[in-house]
Amino acid sequence: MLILTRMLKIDSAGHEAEVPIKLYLPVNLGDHWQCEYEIGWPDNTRRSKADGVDSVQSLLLALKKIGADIYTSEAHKSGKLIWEKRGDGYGFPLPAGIRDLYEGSDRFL
Amino acid sequence: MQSCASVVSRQCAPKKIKPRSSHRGHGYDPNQPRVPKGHTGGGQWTSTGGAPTIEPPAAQPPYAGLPETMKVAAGPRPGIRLGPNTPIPPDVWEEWRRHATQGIKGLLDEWVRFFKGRAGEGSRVPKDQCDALYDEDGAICRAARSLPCWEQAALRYGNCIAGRPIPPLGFGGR
Repeated sequence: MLILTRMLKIDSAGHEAEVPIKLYLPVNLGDHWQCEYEIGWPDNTRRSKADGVDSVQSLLLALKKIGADIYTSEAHKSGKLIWEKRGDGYGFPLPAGIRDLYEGSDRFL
Repeated sequence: MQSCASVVSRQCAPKKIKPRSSHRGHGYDPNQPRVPKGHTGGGQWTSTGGAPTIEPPAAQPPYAGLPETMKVAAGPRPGIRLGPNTPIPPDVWEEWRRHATQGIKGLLDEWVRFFKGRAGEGSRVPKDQCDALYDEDGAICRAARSLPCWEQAALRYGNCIAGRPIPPLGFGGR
């Protein structure tokens, strides 16, 4: 079940394309919890998941994995990916090992 | 007389070495050369003619008589310098060289694959490899039922797709 969404945009030569980010309700798989997510890149949709010992951890780690996917994407590196303001981040946390990649307001996460 | 090999319990007499002579009738050849004076063994009969000699066995590689595959495996022995001047037959040498080259190349390939898989600094790793890494970590974390393990798995995933060194999956039990 879809529970959370955020809409990013790719701005390319005046043409904007939406990049929807979707988070699904964490599910109990018995020995752990799993939270699925999607990133709707214009050329393909990336579906992945994060896991944890409970629903909260799986959700938190899904947010971090989304952040990692976004910050390492070509769209971000090209500077065309936007949430609210160009170069001001996307509002997703990053795993500890790559927090130096934060831009703009994301540095305060 | 029985050969030494066939006699175990009895005393085995060494074979007598008979002098070889072209003059078997009297065992003396006046033309046989001698070792010159002033040299070790001066005055002694030397090679040609009836001097008592023990012929050394023909030079053979230590693995002579082995099957070809074993020759390759037995190839270099201590004290034998491999190279074109050694008594190793060329075909055996070539086969040994080819196997050794393949072995070293295979080892290097594995090494490169290992470090690429672990995403060294600056290298770009395809996302599906990082997903595979996360899945592998997940299998461990599921078994461990460890909160820090999942945290570490996400961290390793992040480092992987960023092309950074991946820390070990260290975590405490729960």
